[in-house]
Amino acid sequence: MVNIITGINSFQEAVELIDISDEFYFGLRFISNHREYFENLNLEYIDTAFKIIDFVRKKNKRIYFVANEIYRLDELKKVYEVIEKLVRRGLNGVIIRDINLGFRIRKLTDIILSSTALVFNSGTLEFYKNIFPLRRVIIPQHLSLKDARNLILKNKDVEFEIFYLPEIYCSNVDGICLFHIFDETKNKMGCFYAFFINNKNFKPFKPSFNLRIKIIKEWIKMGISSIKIPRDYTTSKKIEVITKIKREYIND
Amino acid sequence: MIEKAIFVNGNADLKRYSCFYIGSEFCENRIPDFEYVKKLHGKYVVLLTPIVTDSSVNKIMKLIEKSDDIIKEVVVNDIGLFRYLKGKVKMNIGRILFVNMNYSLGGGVVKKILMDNINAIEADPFIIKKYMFKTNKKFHIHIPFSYLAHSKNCSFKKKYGCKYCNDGCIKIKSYIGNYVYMCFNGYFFRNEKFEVKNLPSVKRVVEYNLKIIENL
Repeated sequence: MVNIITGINSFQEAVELIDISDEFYFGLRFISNHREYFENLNLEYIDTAFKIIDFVRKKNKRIYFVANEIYRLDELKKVYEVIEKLVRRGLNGVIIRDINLGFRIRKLTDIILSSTALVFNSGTLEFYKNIFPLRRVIIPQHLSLKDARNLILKNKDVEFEIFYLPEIYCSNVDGICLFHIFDETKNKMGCFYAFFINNKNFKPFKPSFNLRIKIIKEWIKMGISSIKIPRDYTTSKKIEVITKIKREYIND
Repeated sequence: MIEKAIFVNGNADLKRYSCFYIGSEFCENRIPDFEYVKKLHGKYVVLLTPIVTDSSVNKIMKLIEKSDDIIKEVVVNDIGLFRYLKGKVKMNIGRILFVNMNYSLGGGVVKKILMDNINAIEADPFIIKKYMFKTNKKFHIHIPFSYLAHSKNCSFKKKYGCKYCNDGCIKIKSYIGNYVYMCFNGYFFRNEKFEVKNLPSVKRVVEYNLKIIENL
């Protein structure tokens, strides 16, 4: 059984998606995460998070908080305190990348390793598992199906999640892309700028949309536990994508 | 005294330098074989390694075991390699791993597990400016190209062919820093001037003499 996990940006979204999504995740504006450049993708107040957690848990569904950045040591205390409050309210786990944070929360709640933690091989997964228990690993977009096979088959004690790749696929390895921070004054999506070679438009290569659709079935066959619908879309787009995934891959 | 090293891409002038960087921080296809490594016998060789999949872990470990009298340091960009290499060879944190873990290297369990077991940190002018933190570790600076991003879907391979990748970097007109350079499977910008003398922790400069391809 494959679950749908959806990123939400408001209480209203949770209400609209509750019947079609199995799990949810959210970010907070005051705790940095990998979408920190987009305020609208993060909740402004912790009270909204509490309201969403109450609602989702009442419907017997799971909900996670995303804190997948690296934190300075002086920030970690604050991040831990926020997570503690959310867990007390009913949060099911945290999506992380920072090893120091994972170590701190290892006994507090479930840990999901973000794709930005770059688990591309069994040794890396083992490294993390030796520091804190892992519920799930989100597979980096650039790890191919072929190269993930061994990783998934050898680690039955961990769940694996993929992004819904047809809709979201970065040209570059996510989590170590400095196009986001190269120029503080310009667009945070620096990779979206136009590039030219010999005055001709250049677009970095990425697998075609059709190919990315084709391999979803293969990922499901391999035993992934969940498919992620990111926070970036409108609510109606999320509904459209989830409906499509359920119709074509999960046969709901 | 700052040591001078050179990144070896094909044939290098072996007389001018005492320290040689081989391999790649970005591309799994550029992990050298033993036949290539043994040509550098008698030199001080540093092996660069990228983020790796399971099949490359074995390849790297076999190469290091076979070349233990040649490869003196390994630049690690995938923490999965740490447990295999610990105690076997001097390990340096590579640019990708440094960007990925940045501030967390300065303390907590990360410092204890990783930092206390490494020899140096590899950086470049942009990365050191962005992520420098207080540490007693040495820094090695790679010039003149500063890392921006890289892809496992190599545009050289898919669009132009690996031959161009071996030849050098493609110059790309861009609104970011005017030009971006596609070298290997990554994107970089070029620092024309960078002074290391104000950075006392910098102990080595690694030069990349890559040809710039302006016209394809």
